[in-house]
Amino acid sequence: MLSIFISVSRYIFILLGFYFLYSSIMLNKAMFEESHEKTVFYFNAQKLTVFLSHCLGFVILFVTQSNFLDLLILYVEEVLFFMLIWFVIDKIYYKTNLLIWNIVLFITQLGFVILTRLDFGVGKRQFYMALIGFFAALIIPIIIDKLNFVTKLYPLYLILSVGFLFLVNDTINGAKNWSTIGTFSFQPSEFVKILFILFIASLFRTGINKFRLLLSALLCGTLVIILVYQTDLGGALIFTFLYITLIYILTARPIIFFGGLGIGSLGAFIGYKLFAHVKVRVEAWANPWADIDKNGYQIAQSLFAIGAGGWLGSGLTKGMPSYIPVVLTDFIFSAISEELGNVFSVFLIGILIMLFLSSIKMTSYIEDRFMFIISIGVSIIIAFQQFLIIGGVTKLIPSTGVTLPFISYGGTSLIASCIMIGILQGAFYNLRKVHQEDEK
Amino acid sequence: MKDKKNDSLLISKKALQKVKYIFIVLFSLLIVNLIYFIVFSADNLVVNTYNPRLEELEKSISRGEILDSTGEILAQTIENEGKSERVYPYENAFSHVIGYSNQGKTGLEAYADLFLIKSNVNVFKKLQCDITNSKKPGDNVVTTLNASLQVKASELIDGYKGAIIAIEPSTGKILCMVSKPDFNPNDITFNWDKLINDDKNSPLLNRATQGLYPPGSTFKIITALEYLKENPTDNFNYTCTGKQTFDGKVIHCYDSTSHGDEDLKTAFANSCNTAFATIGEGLNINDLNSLATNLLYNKPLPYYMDYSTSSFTLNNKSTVSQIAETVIGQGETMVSPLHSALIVSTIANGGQLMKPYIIDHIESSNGKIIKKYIPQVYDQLIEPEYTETLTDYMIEVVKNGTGVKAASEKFKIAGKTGSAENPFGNAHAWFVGFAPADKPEIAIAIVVENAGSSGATAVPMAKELFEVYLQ
Repeated sequence: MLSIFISVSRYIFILLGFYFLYSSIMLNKAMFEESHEKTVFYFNAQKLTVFLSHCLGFVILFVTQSNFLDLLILYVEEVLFFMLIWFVIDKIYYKTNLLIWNIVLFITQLGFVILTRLDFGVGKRQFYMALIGFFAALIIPIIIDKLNFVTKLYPLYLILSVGFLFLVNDTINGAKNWSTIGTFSFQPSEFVKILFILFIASLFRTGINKFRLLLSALLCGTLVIILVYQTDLGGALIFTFLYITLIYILTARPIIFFGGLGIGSLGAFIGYKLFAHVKVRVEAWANPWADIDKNGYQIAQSLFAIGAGGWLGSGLTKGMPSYIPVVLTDFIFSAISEELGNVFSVFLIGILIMLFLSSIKMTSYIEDRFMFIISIGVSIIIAFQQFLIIGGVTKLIPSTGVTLPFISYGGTSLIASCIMIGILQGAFYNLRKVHQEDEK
Repeated sequence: MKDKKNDSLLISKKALQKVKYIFIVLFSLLIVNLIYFIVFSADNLVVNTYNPRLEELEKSISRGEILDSTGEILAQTIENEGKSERVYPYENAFSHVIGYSNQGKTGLEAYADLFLIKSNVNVFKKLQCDITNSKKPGDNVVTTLNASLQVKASELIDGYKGAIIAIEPSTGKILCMVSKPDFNPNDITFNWDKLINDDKNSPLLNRATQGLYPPGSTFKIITALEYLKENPTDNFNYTCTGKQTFDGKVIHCYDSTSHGDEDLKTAFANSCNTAFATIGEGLNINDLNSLATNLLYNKPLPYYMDYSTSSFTLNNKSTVSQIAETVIGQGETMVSPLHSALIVSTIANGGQLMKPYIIDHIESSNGKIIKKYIPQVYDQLIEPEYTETLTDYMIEVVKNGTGVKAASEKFKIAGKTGSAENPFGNAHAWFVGFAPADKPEIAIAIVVENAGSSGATAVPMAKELFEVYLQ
């Protein structure tokens, strides 16, 4: 009987995923057409979808795991958490980008369910980190709006970004980019991403000139070199791509983009020739089967899992995602594909596309350059990181050891992502109020 | 100042749109890549030995059966109080072609593994199995093999080392595939150490597909074909005195028999070495090499399980004596029984080679057809007018030549014998041929290692096999 229930749940998850994608498209349209009724309708429909998906996931856990009471408490805590966030949004942030809040909550809920399924302790810790993260996400928009001097502090951001990277003193799981203070560990590079965007936005707040370009290039170069030295290749890639794209957008000179890509590719090529660990990743990507029990192990197990999921998935708790290495962080997507199926995964990617598109659309209404830059900066980082990690676990590109924002386990990643969303909504918060004034 | 700012922002916004499209492309690539992977690659990964899910899958599915073309069970899984046992009712007879699945996987057990561990029974049956906590029955593999033919072939060549392989020329269906020495797959785990260490006999080797032997006089088929191509008006004439010297190398006919006056047909039927060595002198060796290559020497065979590639190394730099021995099937040339069967199959089918295959179709345990394999043409390798001539010659072999022991009253047989000299003992005995010669239904290749005379061993085996199959 249980088997049948879980078998049927696969279809429900897919339906919920589909509806969330569909309603995202509808909500986005309604928001920009300023159609109030439709906006309210789809916003609420999405809330329901999130609750249903979250509930179904936990019900399956209730009946298959043995720690019913613990799970129940966690479930109730999480439901209250979602309700509280929506309460705050309804009251204070109704004029921000509603779709982005919902998408972030949907995928965070997905992360809760999958992580709790994999390991209760991990699921619980992720929830506690989410409490901190979303608290930040909810107060930052107002801060961005009210505290104007924040936009002028580029020297501070410069010093902090480099400084933060020097905090690195630890290696965890082969990655040399951790900082451990006492029992507390975090990855500084996650926060440096934020500081870097703030720096660029602040630096170019009043316009572009050669001095500022040079300064920004120097900082970017320095950061990238430090990151490569710390073997954080994913981080180096993100910074490089972010910088090239930001400068291209600011100057609207295609040559920046292509030239930057060229230099970046050259750098990557040199990296490949010089560093063994880069070579190893590229080889594992090109043919994981040749070295399936060592270099290719991670990607091979990831593909086994994704393949085993087929279109409909094996069903939550029916797959074998614990055989996927690093499944809690980098390869969480593979676990989702295995148990919830690849139809669901395709819808998930669609939802992430909507996150990006909605963000870009809203950005095009921004008139303040600082807000404009932080907005595109955040959008690009999140989207590019999602591309890197999903591309890596599906063998589209070599794996780069970054996380799937909001879904992967990890306090630093989750909190940093929440801060970024807070900053993003801050830029939009400012925007909607401008519209209101115009109407007067 | 403000206007200037807004202007440049406007430009930036336009650039932003372009970046937007880049990301749409990137995300689309993710989706396309994922879908492509699921559609094309995912299935093959299930049976990878590093996939921990394989074991789980095998626990919930009862491995399917392997059947011959008439429904005889060649391999089946018997469930006994929760334990599964793989049983091979025909024991040794199919040991190489079916293979085994308890000690690693070989043969069809390996090739069709993916089908055998999938269950396509209907929803109700699946539900029933879920509720009663029993294994779902895997799909069955129905082969093109003919059990009675295979059993007969296995009996006939028992006691020797060698191989027998039979193909249906018009379709490419493999009718039987026997390799000796063989083993009992039911006892594979028990006898593993003994079998794997038996270097003298190599019982685990599938000689039919992976054994390589000098073709001996069966190669004269190719030599004759090349002669016909180069000499459209065939007026070959030769007087055989039993032996002749070619640049220092003495070529004998079998037992140094003098065959007397011969044309090409009688030289072929007599398998006259001196006549063919003489033919070899006049041939364009480059063209002979091309012909051999077209007939799949030195090339991959269109066969989907393991096999060895044949080799033909004669070229225009070869010496006269090398040419002399190669055109009669000695020298460095090596060929597998599978390849030899494909060559005569081609002749039997008007020069068109059909791709050999063993699986006819896959069906679920309640008879629903999951996948059907149909005959596929490989290529037209020989022009039909030549195959007519060659068939004519091969009929003569059995009527009046070295293959008379194969002659049957019931139908005409076309064939070619061969005695392949080799450094390990007596000559290997070859017979390749097909029947009925006018409308072929079966093509055979037989090789009996170190048996000496083909006429005494391989030829009578062929006759019995043809009669068993064609009655």
